Formats: sequence, C-alpha cells, structure tokens
Amino acid sequence: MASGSPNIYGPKQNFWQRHYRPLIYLLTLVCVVGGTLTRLPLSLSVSDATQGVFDTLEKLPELRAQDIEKQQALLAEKLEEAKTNSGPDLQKEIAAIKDKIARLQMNPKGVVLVCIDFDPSTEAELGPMAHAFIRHCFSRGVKVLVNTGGNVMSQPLAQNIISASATEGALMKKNKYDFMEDGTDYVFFGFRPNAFQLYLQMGENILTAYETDYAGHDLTLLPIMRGIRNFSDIDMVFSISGYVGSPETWITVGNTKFGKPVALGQVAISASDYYPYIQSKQICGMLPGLRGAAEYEGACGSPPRATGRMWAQLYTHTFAILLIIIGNLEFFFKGFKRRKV
Amino acid sequence: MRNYLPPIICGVCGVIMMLHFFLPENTMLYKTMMEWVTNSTIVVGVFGLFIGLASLVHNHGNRIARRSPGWGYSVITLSFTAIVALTGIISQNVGPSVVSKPLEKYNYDNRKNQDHTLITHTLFGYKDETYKTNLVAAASSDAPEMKGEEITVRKVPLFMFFYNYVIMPMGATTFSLLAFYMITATYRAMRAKSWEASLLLISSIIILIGQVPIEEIPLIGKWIMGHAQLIVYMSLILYILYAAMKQFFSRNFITCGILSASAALIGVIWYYTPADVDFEAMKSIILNYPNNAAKRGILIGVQLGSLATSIKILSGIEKPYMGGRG
Repeated sequence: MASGSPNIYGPKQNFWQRHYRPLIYLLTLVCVVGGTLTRLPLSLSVSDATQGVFDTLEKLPELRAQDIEKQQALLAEKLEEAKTNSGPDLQKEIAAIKDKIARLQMNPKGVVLVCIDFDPSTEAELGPMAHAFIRHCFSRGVKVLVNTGGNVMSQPLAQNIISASATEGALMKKNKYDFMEDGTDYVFFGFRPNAFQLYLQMGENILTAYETDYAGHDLTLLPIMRGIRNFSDIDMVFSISGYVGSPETWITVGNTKFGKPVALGQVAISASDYYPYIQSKQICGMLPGLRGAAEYEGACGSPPRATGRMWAQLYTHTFAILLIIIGNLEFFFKGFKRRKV
Repeated sequence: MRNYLPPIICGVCGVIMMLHFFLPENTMLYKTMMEWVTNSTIVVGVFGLFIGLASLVHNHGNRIARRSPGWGYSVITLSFTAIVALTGIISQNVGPSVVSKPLEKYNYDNRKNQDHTLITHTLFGYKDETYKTNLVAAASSDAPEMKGEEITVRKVPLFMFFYNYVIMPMGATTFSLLAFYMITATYRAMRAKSWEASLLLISSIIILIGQVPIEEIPLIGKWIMGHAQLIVYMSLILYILYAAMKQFFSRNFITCGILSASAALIGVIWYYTPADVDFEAMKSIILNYPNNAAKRGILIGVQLGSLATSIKILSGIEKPYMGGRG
C-alpha cells in the first residue's frame, strides 16, 4: 500500500484493498505502453468544432478575394469622388487603399497567424495539432506567421515545430508541398513580454511590435513581410494554448477588436471553457485536446502523430471507466456505509 | 509621496489602456500611444525578469546559507539557472554533434529546382519514422559528409540540445504523472453516493467514452457504441428506481412517487430520442447546453467581479501593488 494517504477500506483488508494503488498504476502503465505500441489505423468522425477550423482555413483564398474586391470597389468610389474633389486627404486615402490592395494581392492564398503558447508539459496534446495545422497551411500555400504569447519557454518548441513542418511536406502522403523557406513562406517572431499589449500593437503595426524575427533578422528585409503590415493583412488567427487566459486575449483582440476569425487549440481539460465562444461565434472552431488534433490530421491527411497517441488514450479511458464501474459495484454491494475517503 | 505616486501612475496607465479601445485607429495619437505603451511594457517586463531572478537567488541563497532542510535542491536550482542562462548566451556554434542518417535525397523544392537532403537526428541513433524525431533539412551542397550509413550533423546549439533532451522529457514526465493520480482518483472518488454525484458520474462516463473511438475496442467496442442509449438511459432509470425503492421502504411515499415518475419521464425521453444519438452526440449535447449555460453564468460573474476590482484599483481604493498598504 502506498503510504501518505488515508486508506479507504478500514482495518480489515484483502489483497486488492491493500495493494489497489500500485496495481492501478501498473495497469495504467500497461494501457499507456500498449496504446503507444499499437500501430493500427483509427477511424474518427470529425466534430463540428474541428470542422470549423478546417473550413475557415480552406475558405481563406475566397475571403481574401472578397477583401480585394471590397477594396477595389472602395477605390473606384474614391476615384470617382476625386474627380470633383482633389484635396490632399482624399489623395492620401486613395494611396492607402492602393497600397492595401497591393499588399492583399501579394498573398492571394491568405495569411495565418499561429500563436504557439505551450511548454513541454502539454506538448503531447498540443504539439500534434500545431504540426497538423501548420502543415495544412503550407499545403494550401497559405503564409504562416508564428509567435509565442504567454511563456518564453514556448519559443524553442515553436521553433522545432515550424522548422519540422516546413521540411516535412515532401513526406506527406496527401497534400504534399515543397520545402518551405524561413522568411519567405513563414516567419517566427519569437517572444515579447505582455501579450495583450503586444497583440494590440500588432494590430497597428507588426514591424514596430517585433522589429526582428526569432533568429534576429530585420523584419523589413524579409520577403514575407512585404505583404503584411498589421492585422488587416492577416486572415485568421489560430491560438494553441496550454495556459489560462491566453485564448481570451486572442478572442478580445483578434476577434472583438480587429474582427478576424479566431480558432483555438486547447488541452482537453480546458476545452469545455471555450464552447460558449463557439456558440456566440467569437471563435470559428476549436481543436479540443488530442482527439481534436487526431480529427484534424484525418481531415487534412497529415502524418498520424496524434492519431497514434489516441490508442493510449482509448485504452486508458476504457480502463478508467472499468475502474468507475468496479468502484461503484463495490460501493453498492457493501451498502451505503459512510466511509472516509 | 510614496503613498500618492504609485496610485497616480497606476490610474493614468489604466486610463490610457482603456482609451485605446475608444480612439479611432488611424489617428497619430493612437499610433504614438500604442508604440509608447508597447515599449514601456517591454521595459517593465525585462525589469520583472530581473526582479524574478533576484528573488530566486535571494530565496535559494538564504536557504543554502542557513543550511535549511532540502538546501541541496536549492544548490541544484541555482546551478541549473546559471547553466541554462549561459547556454542561451554562448555561441550557436558550440554544442554536441548527434548521430544522424540521411532519409531521402531528392529534389523537392520545385520552385527553385533545388535539392535538399532530409535528415533526422536523435540522441540515441535514428528512427525511420521522421515525424517522431527531430527533422532537419539541408541544401545538398551543405549536407554533412556521409560515413557509411551514418552521418554527423553539424553542431546542435547547446541551448536547443538542453531544451530537446533535458527540459522537454522532464516537463512531459512531470505532467504525465497526473494521469496516474487521476486514474486512482476515478476509482476512489467517483461513486454514486448521492443524486448529484450520480449525475456527475454519468456525465463523466459519457464524456470519457465520447472523447475516444470506443468502437475500436476489440469484442465489446462495437456493442457499446451500438447500445449507447440503452446503457445511459437504463443506468439512469435503474438508479432512480433503486433510490425510489429505498424511499418506499423508508415510508417516504411522496418522494418515492416523484422518483418513479422521473424514471417514467426518462423512459419517455428515451422513446423520443433519435436513433442516431450515440456517445459522441451525447458528449456534444452535454458540452453545448448544460456546460455552456454554466460556463456563461460563471464568465459573466467573473467579468463583473473583475470590472469592480479594476475600478477599485484604478481609483486607488485598492492597492495590491503596494502590498495592500497605503
């Protein structure tokens, strides 16, 4: 019997009652190891929350085309107005709209900002969804901006994920893509303190919020930044977070203030906190835990990083349910005696 | 002055932070303000880092100096703080080499018509399944020299080496211990001791099953998935009838009647439940309705509370930044 905690069975104990804790630990280990070693394919239905993230990314070129059309209509309106009024303010406005159209046209497939905000403790759940989402972006030709919000420890993890995803394209069975180049197809900004302020500043001007990328390159010299100035040039935000508060910051800044579609990737235990935001359409979708990551991998045909880990989760959940049933049968058969737990 | 200046600074900064939500974005005032606030927070953040470091050194230094119980752990903490900081400062070219293997060598950058050698590296050899190892790509001209089947990758920066092979496994291991504690907790704590506990129990079982593809469990998986409604509704009805029977023997006939009627009502709901409602659908219903209702209530309450606290802090009624003094 493991020491340090009260015994729930009282003085008279049989073998199970004396040793239930180490036995449960051992069986949990067997479930995890067995699940990790299982190499069978797994079929998963895709939930609405996951489908929301997938669909938003798929529709980005369409959204961008609509945005360009809107700006062109606005430009035509202003040019018409300029025939009767040629004031300096109007000329400035026209120049700004032309500049905006040029920027939008530089990235016709869209631009996504991925906020990788977790440390090694939650990598098992959140790492696969970051990989799958970034690979999906690359396979669709979407430019990817990556930052870390709440914790400096996320930086090397984010660097590992983005560089691996950039090189893995050729190994994918579905949706293959070319080698993605740092500074051209993606950029990793790294970490800056005070996420809320930083995101607000990014909405105004990314170049003043970060100045250099993680490797220290001047952002103004990177080809990818030619078409991106602030949030108006970003089509979607995907926040993958293992911390409390980080997704709320993105919902407030990204969606409420700047009106961009925000999607979340969450550990399963926190996912239930964010379902109200799906209903209120403040987020376009969410990948809840490892299951969400596995569903997303299935939807976009990524290598089965999360799907492989689902077997361990399946065995462990089944074992937990068995234990609940055994515990309750034991409870009922012994009558409703009050026990100290 | 010591009592008045901090609340004034706090109030002014708070009002500035609020103002940006009301100012038009394209004005010079907005842009200047945002830049000033961002730069200020970076400076404050860096000071915060130094204060945190100073506090760590002070606390653990004192424990070592006084030989307090467990002072050896403080020595380890301070040593590794220094080591990890140093690994981040020293050159990127300093670091161990790791044994690697080229996976494939092919032209896969069609846009530039450039060859890349795809190589993997791990601390203890290599694995063919690239998505399980650290994957790097090098232009073929820069690819490391082949020595038989194995190659030696250029130096891995020392900080990344520490991060990948020390911090990552340790962080993951510590967190994964939770799984073992949670499993024993499910056995000890999740028992139908009361009506509320039973509801929690049934909801948690539905969520646990709905979160995994239970139909993949050999022999019984498909049966469980095909009889989701039978399992859930019958568990509920049997439990309620059991409670009703107890009430009957305690001669509480009204409670017994109410419980029996509830069991009948659940039977009616079962009859009208569409046939395609399985564990995943039930999980969605629980998360989208009862969960959302509760969460929304909590969220609104928390936000009203934080609004009241913010107003008190900005107006100087509460001063947590002064340790509650003043």
